[in-house]
Amino acid sequence: MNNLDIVFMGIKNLWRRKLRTFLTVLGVIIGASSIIVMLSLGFGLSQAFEDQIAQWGSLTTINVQQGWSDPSMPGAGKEDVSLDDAAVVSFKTLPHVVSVSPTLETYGSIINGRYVAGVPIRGIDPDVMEEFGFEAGEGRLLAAGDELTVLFGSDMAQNFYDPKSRVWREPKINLMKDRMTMTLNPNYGWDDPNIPPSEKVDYKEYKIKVAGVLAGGNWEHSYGVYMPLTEIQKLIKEKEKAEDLRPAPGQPTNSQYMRIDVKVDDMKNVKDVQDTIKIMGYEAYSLNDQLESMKETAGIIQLVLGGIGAISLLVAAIGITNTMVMSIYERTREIGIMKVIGASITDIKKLFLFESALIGLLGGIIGIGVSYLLSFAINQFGSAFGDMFGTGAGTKISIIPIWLVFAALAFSALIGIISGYYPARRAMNLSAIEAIRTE
Amino acid sequence: MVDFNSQLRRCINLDEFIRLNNVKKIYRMGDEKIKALDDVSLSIEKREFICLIGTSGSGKSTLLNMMAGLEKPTKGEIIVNNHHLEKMNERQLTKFRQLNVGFVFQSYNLIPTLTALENVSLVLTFKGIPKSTREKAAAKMLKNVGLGGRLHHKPSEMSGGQQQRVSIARAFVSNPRIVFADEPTGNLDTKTTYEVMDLITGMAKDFNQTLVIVTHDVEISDYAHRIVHLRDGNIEKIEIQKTHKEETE
Repeated sequence: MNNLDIVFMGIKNLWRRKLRTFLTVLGVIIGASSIIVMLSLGFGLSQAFEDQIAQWGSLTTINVQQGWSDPSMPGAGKEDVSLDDAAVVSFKTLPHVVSVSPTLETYGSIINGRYVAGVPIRGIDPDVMEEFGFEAGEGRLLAAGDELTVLFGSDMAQNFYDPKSRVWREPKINLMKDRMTMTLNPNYGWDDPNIPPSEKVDYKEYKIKVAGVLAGGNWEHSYGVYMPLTEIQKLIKEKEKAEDLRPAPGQPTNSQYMRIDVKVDDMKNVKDVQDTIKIMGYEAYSLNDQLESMKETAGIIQLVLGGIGAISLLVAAIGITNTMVMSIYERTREIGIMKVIGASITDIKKLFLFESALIGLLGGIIGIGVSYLLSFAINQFGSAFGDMFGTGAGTKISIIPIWLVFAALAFSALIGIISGYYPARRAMNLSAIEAIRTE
Repeated sequence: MVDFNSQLRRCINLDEFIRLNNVKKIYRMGDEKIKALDDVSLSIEKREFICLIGTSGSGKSTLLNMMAGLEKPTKGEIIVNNHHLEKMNERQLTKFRQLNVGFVFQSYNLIPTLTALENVSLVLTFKGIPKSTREKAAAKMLKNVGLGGRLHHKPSEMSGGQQQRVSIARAFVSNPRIVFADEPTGNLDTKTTYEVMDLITGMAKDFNQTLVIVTHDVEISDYAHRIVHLRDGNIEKIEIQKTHKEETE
């Protein structure tokens, strides 16, 4: 028998019993949509976790710091690694590493009229800023040739205060337009009278130009001042000269960086690269560490939700079986006739399996539509629901990935076939001559 | 002389189409065993028209079902067109029926939800013949049985005689080698009975088919070449009325 004929015959048979077909399909709709919606809540949850962590910094960035070794521990510190240019080069050659950004950090103050802000001043490579998620909210990012030019963190305006004022007031400053100076004096504004003037260090004050202010949304970039790496190196040298100090042992020297950020091409490779760097003897951190455990939690919640949805799909599957068994009782004589006039048992089996698969598939298709509606409604009106999960507003509570749509279709058709298998076998094994005698 | 000729032909098995050797059939009804066929041996030739006649319970329908591969014998051999039906599985039997057998029933056995045309073309559907071809063939066959104007009527919209004509069209549409009819006129009045019988025998003759009819109506048996009388699961006697050779000559 032609497959196309089986399709037409199956559709016709289902159409003959419209109400019963509809009710059975309804069962599958409820089952399919409940499982999809439940899973979509799980996806929403894990997406919310991801968004939350992404606010703390980039998820594809690994933070590498000086390996900390305890000399008293045997075997520790077997290899003395340092965060120098050689390390930068070696990280760059690792697979999956997109770019590497060494950071120098020093501390200083920005003076804007009567306001002062004590801030960490970070030197970074202007060329890789964009790749590391720096985004200018106002003005521009740093460029390679910038001299004495700074880029402010997004929330820097709030860090200025008036040292002479007793109560804190909102500083009236404009980071883009105001004239500002910068000094690397760590104690600016805190003149210690105990230090004789002869020992006072004469820190330079630099007039600075402002390139821009970073965009908000990333907590790592909200605080602090950024300058090109070479500029910072120059300033640090001048500071040391002014202090007349030789670099203390153990302290980062010019050739050593405070930390090196490593950007990885994809989130799934972060762990591998991180492990490799750890094996090299460095300390490496990434937000992936937190994300892993949060995702695990989300996965468990999703499993529980999906399980609840699966129960209704199971009930729907039993409904399909019931419908098909009933249908075979009704059509016993018809099956007998078909067998006598030349229908093969495979034709009969295919016909019944197709009918039950079609019920499942129809339920799946409509179920997906219903799920999208429900998902939309939840996202629209369910912010209270979101607070319950602690995901906060802004992120979607229910997310239906496109693969879930196809998986749901395939799965519901499969459920139909499985549910129809027993009835189809029954129909197959009916004795033609007995079936034809039933009235 | 004619009789001798046919006897001779039977001996060399030239035209033998169906052969039954010591067929036995026992039904189990709970603990009770019912012997439907005791020990039946019979040979049927190509293009022959055989009538199986007997009272109810004589085993005539059982015999018919076995020759059509719908039931299996408890013992004995059934050879149709060189196929041993008793050795075939369900799948092979289906294939065999599809290729060799047409069926006409007492109760018509049309599918009530399908039109006359669909009922007839269903046989060809199972053979995998494309829609346009099979509908053309079905329509032609329905015209042959005089139902050219009722192609799109459902069985419930037709009289008993008309339904039986649809069923005849269905039996002949795939041009089977052998047509079985189980009390084809049992539900019909006398006038329609003759019409239907003329139709069946006429078509079988036109298409060179073997025809086996089960009946308890003596008048119908008049059409047959040979009449096989069954009684309590055994062949009581075989009446030879004429031979198909004679008829064709």
